[in-house]
Amino acid sequence: MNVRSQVSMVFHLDKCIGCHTCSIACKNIWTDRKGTDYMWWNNVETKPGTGFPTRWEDQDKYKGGWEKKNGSINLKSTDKKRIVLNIFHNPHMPSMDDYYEPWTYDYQNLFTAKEGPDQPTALPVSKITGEQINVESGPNWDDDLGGSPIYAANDPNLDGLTQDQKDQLQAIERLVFFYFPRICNHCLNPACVASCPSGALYKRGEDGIVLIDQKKCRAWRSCVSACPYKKTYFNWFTGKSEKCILCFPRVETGQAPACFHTCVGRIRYLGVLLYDADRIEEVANLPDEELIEGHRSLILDPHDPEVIKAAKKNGIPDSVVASAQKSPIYKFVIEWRIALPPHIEYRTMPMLYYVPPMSPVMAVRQGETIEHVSDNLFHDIEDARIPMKFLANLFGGGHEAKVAYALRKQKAVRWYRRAVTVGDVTMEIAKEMLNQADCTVEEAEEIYRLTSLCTFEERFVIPPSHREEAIEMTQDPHERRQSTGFGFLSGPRRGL
Amino acid sequence: MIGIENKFNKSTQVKRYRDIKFLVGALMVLGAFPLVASAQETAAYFKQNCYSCHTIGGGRLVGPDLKDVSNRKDRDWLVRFILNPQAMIDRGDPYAKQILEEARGVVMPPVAGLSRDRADQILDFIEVESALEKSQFEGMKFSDRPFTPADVALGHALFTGREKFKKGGPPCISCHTVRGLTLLGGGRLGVDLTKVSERIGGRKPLSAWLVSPATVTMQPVFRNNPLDAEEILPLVAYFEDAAKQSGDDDSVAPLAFFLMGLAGMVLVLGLFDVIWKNRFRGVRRPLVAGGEMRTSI
Amino acid sequence: MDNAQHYFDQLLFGVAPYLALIIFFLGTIQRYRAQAFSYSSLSSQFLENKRHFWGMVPMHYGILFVLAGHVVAFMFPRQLLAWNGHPVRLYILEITALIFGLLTLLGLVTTLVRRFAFSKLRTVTSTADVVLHLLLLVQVGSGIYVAVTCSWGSSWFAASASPYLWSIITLDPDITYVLAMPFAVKLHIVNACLVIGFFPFTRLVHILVIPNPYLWRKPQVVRWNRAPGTKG
Repeated sequence: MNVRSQVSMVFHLDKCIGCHTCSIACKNIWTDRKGTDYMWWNNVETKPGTGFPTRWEDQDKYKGGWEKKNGSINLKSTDKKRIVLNIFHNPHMPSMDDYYEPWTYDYQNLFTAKEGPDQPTALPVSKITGEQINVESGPNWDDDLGGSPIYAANDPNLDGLTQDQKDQLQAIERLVFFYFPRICNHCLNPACVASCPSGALYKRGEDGIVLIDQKKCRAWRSCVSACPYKKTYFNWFTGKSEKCILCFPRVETGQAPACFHTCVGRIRYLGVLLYDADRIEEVANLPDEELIEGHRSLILDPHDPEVIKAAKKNGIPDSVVASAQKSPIYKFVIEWRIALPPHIEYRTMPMLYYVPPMSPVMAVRQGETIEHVSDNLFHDIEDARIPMKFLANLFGGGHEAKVAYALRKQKAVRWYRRAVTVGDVTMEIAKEMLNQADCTVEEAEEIYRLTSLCTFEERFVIPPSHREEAIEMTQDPHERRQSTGFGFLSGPRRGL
Repeated sequence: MIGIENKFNKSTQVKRYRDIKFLVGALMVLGAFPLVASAQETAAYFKQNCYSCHTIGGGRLVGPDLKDVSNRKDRDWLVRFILNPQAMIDRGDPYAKQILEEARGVVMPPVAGLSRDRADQILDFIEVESALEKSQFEGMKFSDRPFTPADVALGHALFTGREKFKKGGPPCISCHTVRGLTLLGGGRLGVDLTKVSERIGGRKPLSAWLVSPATVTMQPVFRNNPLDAEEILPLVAYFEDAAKQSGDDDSVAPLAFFLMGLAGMVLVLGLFDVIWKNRFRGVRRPLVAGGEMRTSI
Repeated sequence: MDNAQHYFDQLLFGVAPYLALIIFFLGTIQRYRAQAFSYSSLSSQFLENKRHFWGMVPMHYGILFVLAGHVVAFMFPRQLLAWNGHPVRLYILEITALIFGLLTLLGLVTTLVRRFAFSKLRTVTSTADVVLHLLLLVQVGSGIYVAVTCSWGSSWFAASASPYLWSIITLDPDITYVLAMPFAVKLHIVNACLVIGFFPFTRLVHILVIPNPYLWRKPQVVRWNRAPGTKG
């Protein structure tokens, strides 16, 4: 057992209101420099939708992540052989066209325009060339199903849905969507790290944050194609890749990352997980249907004396173990099993989990009448407006059981709370539902508390940093703002 | 003689290029060019650089016999001519022109490492040698047996490099062509050698010339690995034969070569296109362009 | 021989290579020490990736083959001459080399045109890039010209250029090998010195950081922040 600690995350999608506050907080701190204008280390996508960059989940085109081949896992397009041959032109790298050309507006024109018959306008100008452009796309161009006949209709997660299910997603008056905020998953088996020819990408031993060493990055660009989530971005100005750093300067000083801190819906949780680093490869190699269980099996029980002993042996401070014992992530992922990794089939072992969203109350059209009632306690889960298959494609690696489990438990908790506070559901039925959803009254109370009443301290259990042992941690986090990358003494500038 | 020659090669080389040695060289380029040569060294120099075209009292080769050359023109003229023959001809000097005519248009190539002092020493040396009963540079002895077809074949093989030169010199085809040689001809860095025998003046001068080829480019290449007597004879045989055959004009060979390269390039580009046929060509633009607004998913 | 001409030749072929090499080594080392951040290939594929393919792939594969050819001729002149001992083999080698030379030229031209055809790319094109492109165009252009009109380069390189280059690296330059070469060959040599001397001030430095350890490292990289000695 090789115990390591990982700062990991849960996004509770049932609470996300799609306000993009997280994206803006991140942009203001990290990506308002030249070359990073188009990057959204944190972005919020509407599902169904094509996301950012467009259709990033379509791995037939983008060829990111790992694939199982001849009994072992290989990078889909960025293994060593191919990187060597493809180093001059990366054949699976999206260009700016597939993200968007960042722009601003020529506000000056509002003041300096000559007098004329029309109101002056502020025309869009490219932030790259400074020339006027036709804005064709943006980071959330299909927000709230905008342009859905093109975008939502082409969501790769619709694969395998029946025509009925697709119609149901789209039908007028029953239109349904949910939000899908994304940051770097800080994976256990990161494809970006594995693919980097320079070895510039690395996972920090202490907290598992995946970073790019800006001095070692040589713009070979393989991380951009390797990451199946398209969360490494190429800075076209400095010629270096950059990615979400989980606000490590904030985390090290005990603050929640900016996107977490500002989250209006309080959907975000952060805490430590202990995992067994020796078993990563073995688990990443499991058959598709066993991946989610395998992924969970990597995570160790922080209360287990054996684990604590092994953690100590590995140099993990007691304070971090204590933090892991209070981790909300452990509860969501392991104890309650209602948080699921996104697209586990990419086999990068992401450490950001999602609680799948509930759909609006179900209404089934039967002939001319609309039927709300059913004898089946969970009928609105199984026949949810967001088809189970769609959620399974996103969070279940294509398999519905785990998603159904998470949704059933969520529904049972709601009905249990309804029985407690409103009383229009009998406690008998509520308990029956809890029973059917593999949940106890105590667990339901706990889920309710951490979902609805959670305080800042409950949501973010940030492990203490041990500054006395650290190098990077001794610098003032505010010095890092506006700098390219992190930990520079000399000013970063574009090469000749 | 061999021993002296080797010593010469090393010592002059060192002296001649002392001024451009690393770092010191950079500073000394504008400085003096020190050269102090003994009679022995001058003899070796003559053998290396002049003897393939000139004898002293042995009659004409490519260039004139240099016996008593000092009586023909004054020292200043001779020095100027040795230093830059082409310039004298260009200036229209009548005697220089006469020399050119006698040599059937072969201009004396510029000699590497020649200086005013060196030219003076050589002329002094020639005067001394001319005074002798029999100069050591009266001319080399070559077999004058008639050429056989086997000689011609061997010469051809030596020219193309199929037969290697014993001392390791590069084959003629590297830089020279002869009409009717093979498909794409020989090299074109040096001159076309089809009529070389005629130009140089026949079997004997050509043989002498090949003993130590004296052009600036060939000299360093063959200085340490000269042709062997048994190699010179078949080569001359081949040149004479080639002049007689005088194959087709192959001046289109470079164009053919270039076009073959061009065709190959197109092929390789096609190959690249096939190897990377699944390369990423963009997702958003085609999606938006091809996605007619459907009314349902 | 004219003295001024003589010193000029010495300068071009006897001194310039050393100046170029000195600048190359001092420049690249100092740049790495002071501005490691600037060691990047500065790829522009992100801004434009269609022409990029037709520029980068032919250029890099072309130049790699051609450079390898130069190195082989430099290191193993005798073996090369032995290979060229048969005219058919000589022709095969020469045509292959020409193909790759032409690929390089095509790639360079595509790259240069592409840089100016797209306004996004103009914003990331520096003066150094333009100068470098022009130098490389001269280098590849003169190389192809020499290959076609002064054949057969692969053979006489081994006979004349190899000893010249050896004389340079053994610090005993003998420029007689190249003195009487045609203008295009001399241009090729002098321009090579320019490219080498200009190298540290361009994006070419990315050649020096080709990622060889990548081939044998483990897929995952973990770095510990702890002070050395602590278990990690």
